[in-house]
Amino acid sequence: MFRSFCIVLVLLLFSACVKDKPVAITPDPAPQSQLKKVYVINEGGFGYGNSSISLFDPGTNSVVEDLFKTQNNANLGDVTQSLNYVNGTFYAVVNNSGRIMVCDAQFKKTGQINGLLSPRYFLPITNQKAYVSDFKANAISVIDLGSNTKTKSINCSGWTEGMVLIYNKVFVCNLRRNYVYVINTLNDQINDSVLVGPNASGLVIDKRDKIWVLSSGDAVNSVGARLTRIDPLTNIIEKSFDFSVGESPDHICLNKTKDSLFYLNKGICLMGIGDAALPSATFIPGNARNYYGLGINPNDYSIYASDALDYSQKSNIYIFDMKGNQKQVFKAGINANGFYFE
Amino acid sequence: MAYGFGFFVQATLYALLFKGQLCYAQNTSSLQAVEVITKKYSLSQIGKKTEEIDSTTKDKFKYGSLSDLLSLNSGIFIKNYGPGSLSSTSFRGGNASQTAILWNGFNLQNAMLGQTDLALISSVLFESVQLEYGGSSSLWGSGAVAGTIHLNNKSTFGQGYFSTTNLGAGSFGLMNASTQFQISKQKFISSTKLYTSSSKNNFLYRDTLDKVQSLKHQRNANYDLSGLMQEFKFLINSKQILAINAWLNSNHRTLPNNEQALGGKSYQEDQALRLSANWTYLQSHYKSVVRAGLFKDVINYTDSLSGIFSKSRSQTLMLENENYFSWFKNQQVNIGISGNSSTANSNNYSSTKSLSKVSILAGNKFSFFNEKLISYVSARLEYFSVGSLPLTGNTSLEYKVCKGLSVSANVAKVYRQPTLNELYWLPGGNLNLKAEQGYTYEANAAYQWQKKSIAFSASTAAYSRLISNWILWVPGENANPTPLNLQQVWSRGLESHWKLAYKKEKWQMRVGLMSNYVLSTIQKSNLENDNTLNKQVIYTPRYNFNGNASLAFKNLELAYFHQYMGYRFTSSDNTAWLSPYQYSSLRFNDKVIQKKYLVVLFAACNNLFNSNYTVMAGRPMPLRNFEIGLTIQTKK
Repeated sequence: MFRSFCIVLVLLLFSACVKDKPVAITPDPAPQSQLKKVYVINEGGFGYGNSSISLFDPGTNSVVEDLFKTQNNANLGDVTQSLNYVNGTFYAVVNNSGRIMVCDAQFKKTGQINGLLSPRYFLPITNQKAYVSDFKANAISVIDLGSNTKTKSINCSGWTEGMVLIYNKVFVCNLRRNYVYVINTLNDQINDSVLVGPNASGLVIDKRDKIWVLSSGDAVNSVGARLTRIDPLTNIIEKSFDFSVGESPDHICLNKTKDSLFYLNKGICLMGIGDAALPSATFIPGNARNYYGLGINPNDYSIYASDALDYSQKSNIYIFDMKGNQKQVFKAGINANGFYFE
Repeated sequence: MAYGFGFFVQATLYALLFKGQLCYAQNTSSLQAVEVITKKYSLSQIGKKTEEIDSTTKDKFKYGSLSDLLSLNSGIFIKNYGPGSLSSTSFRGGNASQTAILWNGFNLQNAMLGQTDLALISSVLFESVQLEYGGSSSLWGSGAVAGTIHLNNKSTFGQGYFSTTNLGAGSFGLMNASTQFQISKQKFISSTKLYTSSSKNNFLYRDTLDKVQSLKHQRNANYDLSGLMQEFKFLINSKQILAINAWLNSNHRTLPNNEQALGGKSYQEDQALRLSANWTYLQSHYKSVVRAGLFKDVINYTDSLSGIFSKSRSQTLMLENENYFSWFKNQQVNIGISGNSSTANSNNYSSTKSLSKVSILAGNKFSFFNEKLISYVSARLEYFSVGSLPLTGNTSLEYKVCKGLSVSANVAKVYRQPTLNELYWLPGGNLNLKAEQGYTYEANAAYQWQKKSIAFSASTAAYSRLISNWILWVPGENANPTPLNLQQVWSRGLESHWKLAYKKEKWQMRVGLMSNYVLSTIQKSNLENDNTLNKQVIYTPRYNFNGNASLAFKNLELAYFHQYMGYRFTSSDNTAWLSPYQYSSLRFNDKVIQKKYLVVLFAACNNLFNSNYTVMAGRPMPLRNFEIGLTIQTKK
């Protein structure tokens, strides 16, 4: 009895039903078409250091995973928030690493902007100057694009987020205040503010040069979300549309002709800039999907929406045509939150 | 009041259930009958794999946290974010919310989070640390899905005066001290434990991504833990004991960032006040326990740069009555009723929120063939303020095949109700959440053999658990994190535990080996185009081994602990993972025993082979480091 029991135990001790070592899958080199590419910004998990950029080719439907690592054999950093392309140079804003990775058109690293606390978005002002919003700095950082260094800060208490530039003015969202702040880019000073409601993170400029700000509301204090139209010449609110309490719209963007607003709110919503009211139904219902990022491809009017699933696996990127019909789905990195369209 | 309530419950339930069939002895018994009447945890352990960490092993880890103790001495995978940082459990493929951590029978899980940070629990506080593998929801309620950790204070009347002081120091500014003073009279016990532990925690690690300067110091990781535990125990008369316990715990720590993240300035304060009272009434074949507990937790998280000043307050009040009764030839019935009310407030709640529950438990232990065959059956019905749960239950069997060999099996229905954060967090909280629930099955075999100076034991366990309505936080309708019942997870595995001890004259040798094989895969998911089906749950190693060997001569002892941890997936589609690691610790102690005092000198080398490893992604762990300690015990 004892012997047979021990034999069974030894077998159990060394039994291995599943091979432990995972198999790393190395994708084949992706074929490239002449069509303009789509860069998917993948935040990765907060604190995991696994953010990345995926390169999607709409011509071949191929995806290059983690473009930065492929080109540089290094990690991009912790939580990449946004990506811009200015004068042949990419600027990848890596939020939780407190830096901006500067890369050439092939995504080879050429530099790095340090000295930032928690950078969020990058806005080129001139060929020499850019603004960077920041979660923690209580300021907008001014960057010299020639030397890739931070030259000064524009004090702006709170969590600065999305920015747009028009008429030598930068309108900055602030998630810790109920205002959009207005910076004069000629002297880098805040000279006005506009009350838009809590948690405004995104804003766009339509074809009539009007600014649309989307505030997501404050669920804790039962303050509803609001869409506000501002005249950037006068900094005066021209219109505002209130959402029901409990709704928390986000990720506002425009189509190529800048006459239709898109945002996420239980799916993808569409509203013409001349509409008298908020849409009563979603343009593309969310159903079981939980959209986390949204972008409109200006090259073909297609709508890109990311589903981050459970925050810890590769995201699904859904592509819809301008009528809202799903065209395609592909996989990008973890927590895809936005897109940069060539 | 409590006395009357206990008798009311006893009288009512027994009258209803047994209609006078009870046959307990009429003559007055003394409190020695404790051994006759089963405790709840020994009922719940029937048919299951259980382990008690022996006092010799526990002594070697008394300078550390519960996380340090369990990591090397149990089959539980401890998700350790670094020394002093968050440590939570993964028990048989479950998550931290699916492990019940019980202090003298009360669940320590934070009502808001549904989990407990083991780094905040000093291992020196408990006389007994027991691990109960497998689900026991019918006995311990919500959360006891994958396993239960029992932390118990044990004291005996009439032992005189006793005091012990531990002083320790270690690498990276580690300092710790604890003291216990106990007065144990014939009818009264007072036990006071004070402890403190702090560290700069600026340990060295290797950053493999930094090709230029890989050797780095950890930043922003200092911690300062202190607390007090007080126990009073009164022998009221030969049938009644009253125990009152208080535990005050306070921890302040700065929170280190991920390796690739910019250094942060955030810190967290955790404060806990836990009060409990336990009244036991005993007769020779009957025992009743009325218990009450009040737990308060405060968590203050501050990140001044981010403008986050989060304050969370929660309070849980527990009332419980358990009754055990021996009837007809070693049959024992237990009946209990419990009420629990939690309230909490946070910056992310719209107002103070509460969650209450009432449960009724009934069970019976059957013994046959001179206790060769033991069975335990129990059922629990629970109502809570945001919904009721179906009947849960447990059936266990244990059979002694022959001398030294026993086999056992257990089937149980288990559940975990949503936490306050899952229900009320704004934005994202989901009031429509259902409880996670499912069935767990296990079979065990254990063999013990002893001859003269050799003792050998071996045990093995196989288990399977299928949990539906598994709760996951996902981007909700408005891209805000929202918990949803999304998955079905099947966990199954094999475990073995070997022990060998040899003693000859002044020499003693002990060897132990533990193996754990866990497959915990996602069987169903409600997410569209989800690539997690049949994939291993993240941070659940499929293989891990713990081994230890010790050699003692007279009062000198050298002990070696070794751990192998297999691959851990960091993405739920299993496309990213952490490599296996091996960790080892060498511990030495020397005892100087005198009639009235005992002095123990202690030294340890942790991470003996200086391996560069991480338990969690981006969270570095220290390279080789050292500890020394001194214990002085006096007895009168």
